[in-house]
Amino acid sequence: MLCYSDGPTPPGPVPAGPVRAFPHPMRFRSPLSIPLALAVILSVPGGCKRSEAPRAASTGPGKIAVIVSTLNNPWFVVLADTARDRARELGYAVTVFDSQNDPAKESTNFDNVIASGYQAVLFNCTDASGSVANVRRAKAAAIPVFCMDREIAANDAAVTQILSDSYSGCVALGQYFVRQVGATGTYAELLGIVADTNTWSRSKGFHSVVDRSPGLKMVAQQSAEFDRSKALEVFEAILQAHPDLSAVFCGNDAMALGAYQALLGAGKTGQVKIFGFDGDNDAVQDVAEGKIAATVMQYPKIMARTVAEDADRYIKGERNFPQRTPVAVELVTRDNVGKFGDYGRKAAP
Amino acid sequence: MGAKPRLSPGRGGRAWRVAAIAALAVLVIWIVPLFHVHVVELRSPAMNFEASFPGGVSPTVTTLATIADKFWRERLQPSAAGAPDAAAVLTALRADFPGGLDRYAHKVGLGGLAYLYVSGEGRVVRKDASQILVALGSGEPGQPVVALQTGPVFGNAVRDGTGLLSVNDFPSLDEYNALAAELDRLVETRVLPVLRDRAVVGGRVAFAGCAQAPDDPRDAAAPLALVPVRAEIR
Repeated sequence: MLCYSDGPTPPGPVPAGPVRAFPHPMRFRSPLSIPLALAVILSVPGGCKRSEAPRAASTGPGKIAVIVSTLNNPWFVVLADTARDRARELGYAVTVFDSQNDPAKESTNFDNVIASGYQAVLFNCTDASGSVANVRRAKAAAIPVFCMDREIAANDAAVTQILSDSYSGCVALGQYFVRQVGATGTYAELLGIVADTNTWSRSKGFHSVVDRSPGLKMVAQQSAEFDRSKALEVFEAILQAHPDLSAVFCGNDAMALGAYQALLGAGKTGQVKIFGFDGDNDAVQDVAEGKIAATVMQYPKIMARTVAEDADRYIKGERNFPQRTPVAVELVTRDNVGKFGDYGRKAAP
Repeated sequence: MGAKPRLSPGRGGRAWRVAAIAALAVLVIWIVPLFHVHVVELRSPAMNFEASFPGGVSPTVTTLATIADKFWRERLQPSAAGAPDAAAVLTALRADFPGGLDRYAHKVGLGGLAYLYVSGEGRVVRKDASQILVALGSGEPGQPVVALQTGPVFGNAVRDGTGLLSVNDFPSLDEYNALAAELDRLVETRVLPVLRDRAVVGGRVAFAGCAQAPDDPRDAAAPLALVPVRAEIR
């Protein structure tokens, strides 16, 4: 099968008369013309396959979209800003879209991106399963999607996924939790967004360790949706119901900071140990000051820069990407907090 | 339309024959190409377990137990004897920390964490509730020491330490993480009882195991905390 492009129809009435076999003005004047034309056509590799190349920008620099789950959390602001800045360094015009933790807004963001000629999407999803359809729509429109931090539940939709190894981080955090809290005590868990795989990777990693200590009893487990204000509200209620609580494990640092505010309000800052996750600057500072027992540093800047560079390599023709790449995380305690800051490890002196 | 120059019958006939041969050659090459260009997908030499999860559904506990057992028997145990010598690895880390890591450590994904997979033999010099210290080689003072962990096993050292498994052999991180816990369970049930029950101070033990590599040269002198995947009392 041959490919062709439909040209514009010439204006004016269609001339009457018999249909000609070759209405095109070109004539094959030499007997060699036909085989030579055939050879040229057949020598085009790939034949008439639909191109998988990303859309090319019509004029000026290419455009890349950063679609992030929320900008109402400093950690995700760092993720989005770093992705934007690295893509700009690589020569692209970049627009950041905030999904406000709302799958419907995320879908609208994809609608806009698909309609606006973007060459790639650097994506942090709101819902591991629900976001797959958006990624597939972009793929169908020849716009490659590169996931960062949060996993989508499909292996054939995104080009690649750069993901924090949350499970491992919370295994280490769980071991530290047991050492700090001791063999007996009661604790609460504040979960993140229940549709996010990170919520459960963290919870499962933590419980894989802590559940082996029969003297440690979880008396409350509730979602605060990775949100500081919700965590304050939820944890206030938990404290009222369980005044003798020993510790609280929070699925991210925003919730840990909210839990600390609740403890301040209840006058129990020395009684309940707080454990977070993310490596947020404020939380790292609180670890140094002893307000939070520990957090886990994940590396938003590494993830964001990697997806921007992967997108650039894809646009330039590379196609060999692993579906998932885990990014190591590290436990941050008062003993090693000096090594960390600015959403990563400090450079060696 | 003007009159066209006509080709003489002789020239025209030759040209058509050449054209026909050329067209035939192109057609034959198109149907039976001289070579194919394949895009080679880089995969780890690991087992691909994705086929074990039809439709990408989450595995049952039974499926994971089966996969972990298969990996344990068919890949992990046969590889244990060939793991680098623990004494050589620790000596290399002490002499040239970055060079030793480059040579022996195995990194997973992005970031700073690296893992070691080693084997060796030595003399038990101490036995605690949660670990057994083994001085390598003859067990003389000054020999490198490993700390075989005998308490509850947590984390990814076994899954990630050998380099035989890749996250991309699994449908998602969830299954990959669950496998880590299952492998830890196999260590606890198949290896640790041997060490807890039969290792004695002064006795000799042969082992293979995985560890998170130290991230600071100062830690390289401390006993390497090793999750044993194989242990034999001698």
